[in-house]
Amino acid sequence: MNEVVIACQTLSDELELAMQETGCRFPVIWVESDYHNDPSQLRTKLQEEIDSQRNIDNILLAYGCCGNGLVGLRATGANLIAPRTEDCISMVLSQPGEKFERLKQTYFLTKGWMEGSKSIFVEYDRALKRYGEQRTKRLFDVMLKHYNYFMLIDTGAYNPADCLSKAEGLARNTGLKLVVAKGDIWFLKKLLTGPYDQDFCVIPKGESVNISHFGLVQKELSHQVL
Amino acid sequence: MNKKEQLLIKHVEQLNEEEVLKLSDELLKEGMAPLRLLDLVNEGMNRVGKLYESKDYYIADLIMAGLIFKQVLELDKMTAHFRVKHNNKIGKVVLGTVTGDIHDIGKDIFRGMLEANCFEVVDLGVDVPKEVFLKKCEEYQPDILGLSGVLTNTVDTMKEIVDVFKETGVRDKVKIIVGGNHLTKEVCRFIGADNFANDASSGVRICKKWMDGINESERRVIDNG
Ligand code: B12
Repeated sequence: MNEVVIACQTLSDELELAMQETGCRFPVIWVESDYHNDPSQLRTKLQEEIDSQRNIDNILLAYGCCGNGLVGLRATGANLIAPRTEDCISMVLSQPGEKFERLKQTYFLTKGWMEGSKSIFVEYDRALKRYGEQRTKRLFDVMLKHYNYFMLIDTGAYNPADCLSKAEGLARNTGLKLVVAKGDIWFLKKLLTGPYDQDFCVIPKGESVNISHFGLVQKELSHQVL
Repeated sequence: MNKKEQLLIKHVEQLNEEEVLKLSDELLKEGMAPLRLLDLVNEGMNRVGKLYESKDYYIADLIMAGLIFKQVLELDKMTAHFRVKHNNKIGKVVLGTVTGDIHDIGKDIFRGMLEANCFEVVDLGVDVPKEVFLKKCEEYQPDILGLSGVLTNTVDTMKEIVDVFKETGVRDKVKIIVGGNHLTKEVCRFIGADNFANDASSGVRICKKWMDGINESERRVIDNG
């Protein structure tokens, strides 16, 4: 079996640790984090990467459904396998076998999210430059109107202490509270090793991803084991 | 389109808050019809959307565009215009972002566009559970229920909301429109809504068409320009 991983840069620390811990050294194609701001562009980019693979049996996608960014992808030359989860936040916060409920009023951070070239930190600095302090405050009051917390997720793949002061700074500027919570990389490890059970969307070569694969519509159609 | 009109669109596109408000005021004083002004501002907003898609603009810019739009609606001449029209509201919409989702930039834009087009809007805010949609619809008896959401799993939530209207036997009392970037015809059918929109203008167009149908049978068709 020939495998390749296509992964969102946001998950780089977590995926690298998962590879270390599982001993899987599949080649990885990294896709810029920016794409997650636009699900349609993400889909186009992923399709290009999928179409350019040769002699591969399984393409492992280190992505969630990501605002339907994965829906519509065609498994042109290989089977596609993706975690059956909403996005990378639910991927690192969920527990095996449990239904994940996203905390409300919370904006989630990992080192990967913080480093994105369009991260909320970059947003903030750019707004300061373009709009000045007063308008930036107005804009962020609207943006984060329904938020009370920043949650730094300790996925075990980086040292949270390295991110604390930066996160605290933004929390202070936006009037939110910073909290730290424990996350996990079990989903990524299982993506590398299998088994590809009901936790995964498995799209056999020749077929396309539709929303039912993510268990969001017609749950009973959602899984097949390879 | 004359020079000033083009300039207004440009100012919106470049998010020049003060200039937009000043020029809008001027144009209204010169006699421009409020709905014409809104069309121009809307064109500017569409361009902001494109710049966001091409990654030139950031989320803060989307929000800035929303703030500018809202302030244009709040200009004296605009509120006066809509107040006169107050008794002539063409329809009532209950609107909210569904449970589990707290994204609201899109919902707020849709709300503004509805109001600008003479709809009365009851905005229930974000993370609204199905029971609240049901209760508020009983209370306000809207013509249309609008459900907003951007997270993928809002598809399920929206279906649950439509289902609860079916179960309680009130589904046929209200038209339901769902809105969000991720929605498609197929998903809309699954949800059981009457229609869907991926952008605010087409959402408003759909609502107006419905109201034409409803109002035609109830009262004379109101010319809403
Ligand atoms: C802006 C944004 C934010 C802002 C929200 C600010 C706010 N006050 O709403 C901030 C930065 C706060 C944010 C936070 C989060 N976000 Co966000 N966010 C986005 C982003 C980039 C744009 C959404 C948006 O506002 N678009 C602009 C508006 C104008 O478009 P729209 O919503 O489609 O609305 C239009 C139409 O749909 C229509 N419309 C809208 N509603 C209605 C209703 C009706 C009835 C009708 C007819 C029409 C209609 O009219 C609008 C105007 O034309 C999207 C990506 C994307 N491009 O979709 C991610 C996205 C939605 N977010 C995402 C994520 C993961 C998050 C976070 C979890 C991230 C985090 N690190 O914590 C948090 C949420 C936390 C939580 N507890 O829930 C994911 C969701 C993935 C998923 N699960 O489906 C997305 C898809 C990005 C991604 N791929 O990662 N986000």
